[in-house]
Amino acid sequence: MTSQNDPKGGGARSLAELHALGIMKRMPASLSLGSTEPVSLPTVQAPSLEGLTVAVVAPGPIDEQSLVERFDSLRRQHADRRERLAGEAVGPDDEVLLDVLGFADGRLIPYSARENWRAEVAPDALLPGFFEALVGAKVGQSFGIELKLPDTYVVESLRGVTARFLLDVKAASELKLLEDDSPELLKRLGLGTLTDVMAHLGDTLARERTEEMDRLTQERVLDEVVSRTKVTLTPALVDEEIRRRWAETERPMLIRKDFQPNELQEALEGWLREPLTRADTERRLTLALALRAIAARDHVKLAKGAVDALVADLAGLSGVSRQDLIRAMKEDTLLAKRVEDLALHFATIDSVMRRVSLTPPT
Amino acid sequence: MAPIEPRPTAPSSAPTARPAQPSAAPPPAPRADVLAPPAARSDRWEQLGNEVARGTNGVRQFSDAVGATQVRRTQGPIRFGPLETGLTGTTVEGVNTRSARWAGGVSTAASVAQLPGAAYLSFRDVRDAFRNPSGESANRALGSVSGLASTGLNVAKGGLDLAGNVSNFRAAANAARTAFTQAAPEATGAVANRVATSAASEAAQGSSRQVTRHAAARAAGEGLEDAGRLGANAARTALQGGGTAVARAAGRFAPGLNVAIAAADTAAAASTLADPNAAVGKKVTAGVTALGSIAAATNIPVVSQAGAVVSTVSSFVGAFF
Repeated sequence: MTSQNDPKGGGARSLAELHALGIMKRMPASLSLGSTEPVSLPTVQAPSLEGLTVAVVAPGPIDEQSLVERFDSLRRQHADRRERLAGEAVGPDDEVLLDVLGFADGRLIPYSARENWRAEVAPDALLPGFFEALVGAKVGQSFGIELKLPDTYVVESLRGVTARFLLDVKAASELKLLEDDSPELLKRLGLGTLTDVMAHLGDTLARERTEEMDRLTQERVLDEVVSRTKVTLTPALVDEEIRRRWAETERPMLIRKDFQPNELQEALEGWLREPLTRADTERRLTLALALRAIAARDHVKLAKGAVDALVADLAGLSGVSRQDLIRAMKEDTLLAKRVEDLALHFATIDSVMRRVSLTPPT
Repeated sequence: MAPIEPRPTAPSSAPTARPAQPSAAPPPAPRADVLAPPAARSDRWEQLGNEVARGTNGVRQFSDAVGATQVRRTQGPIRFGPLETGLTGTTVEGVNTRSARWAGGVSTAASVAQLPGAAYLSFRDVRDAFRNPSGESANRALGSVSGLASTGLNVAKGGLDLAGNVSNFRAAANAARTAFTQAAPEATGAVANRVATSAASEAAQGSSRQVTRHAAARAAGEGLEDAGRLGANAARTALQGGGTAVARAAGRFAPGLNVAIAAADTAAAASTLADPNAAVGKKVTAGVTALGSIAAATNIPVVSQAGAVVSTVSSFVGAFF
């Protein structure tokens, strides 16, 4: 394993800087969050792509149920809305804006912290009882839900466990749905007759299914790349990756909720101890190292067309103009670096995908 | 639905350190230990216990109101976590109803408590009461140790033995995805009954044919779409509705799936993108997160982003813009 050199070009650190680093190293991991020091990454040999053959993932079926559910979603999207007043009770089928913390086994449930989470108040088979219990909660106030997670819950370690959720119901909207075949609804949809609407939804679903199929096929290819990559990742490296991801994602919200140091540590440990999070992190690290090695070996270069397309997609996703996005990158070198990393990552995946032989779905 | 009875009136004496009344954006709460010294905290907890009891009483009222259509009432002592209210009342339980969205699938009862005020998520003592029902804070909430009862939180089950094994992990993730599919809510029957079935059927058949043709073309050797475009499309889909689609796919609050981090990323990105006051740089960063993180195949590790990627140009911005 090799270590990266001092990012500042090998210059000596000041006494104060060394002192601060010494303090940081003695701090709980959840608190040493300013650290974005480069970490030691293992070097890997680029895996061979010879004979890489992968079966295409079979597309998911499209049936009436899928269409009806999508239609129902559109119908909700175009419903009349009334913002509920503070103190008013949440009703069934409302749209709510929530902050949530979930606890089980005496700890914060990993990934349970949500802020400004928009949700529909409708039963969810994955979390039975949660949304049913939300009916009647007062808008603008805190609310508690206690339920026993079902024996069929998707996370094995939480099956049958009593979970408590502490919520802030920040806002709620009452929806008045239009009849399915009402002229007003069809007018709002702007897609023609009901048959036309269904045909449109069918096309949309077909496009999404094929994209999903491509994405899953791509994942299958990258799984093969990972399996061909010989590398040993230390637990410390996996910990650090999880810690940084947690620090970017969950910690800011917990800080805003005035979490205390030991609670922050508990939250981080929830992520660190979670077996599938660790496995996923190992996979992502291995893949990133493999792709980097492949890019170096195969001299992968960025093409202007691909970069332009990426910037256009980023601008669309971010809701900013292309000009503003480019200006932001010019002003923020870290942001520019992240976009460049993303572009290189995609370019390398494309390079790998061009070398793959695809076979029919099995 | 029967009219909802008014909420119990708030006590005339304002509780010490009571959270602020609801507002659109609750101000950041001060540190709990500063805001609520021990004596005051005790007062607040007594107040909270009383309020929760009243709130639970309120729950009974709204449960009565909606019980006829959405939930089934179960009579018995009301307990919410550590808070044994001493009242006989209602537990909320879903049942089949006239509304298809609410039909079936619910077998887990839930207890609920309306807390008196807003922003309780920022209070350490409240969090502790939710975290550990046998803790000190819970005792204070009740003002009586004898009122506490075990709520069965000591259930301990072994975690998944999957760490470090990528192939096993993939298999587990696939199994989880299958579980999601099987656990998917039933069709929205009420809608289905009213929608022109033949139109839906024809559209489904036509679309399925499209997908099949596409699969055949892929296997015949046509190239895939480029990775960036696939990621962008996946991100767009995931961000629809404020990221709720991915949250649903991740099992709401379910840890342990490879999409869980993506769901958390999505939720954070969606929140930023929905903020009209967010700076351009912040929004673009959220876009990068969405694009780089949502599609699991392109989820880039954070530690590798610190200058570790091979670059073929000295200045990315200078070379392309």
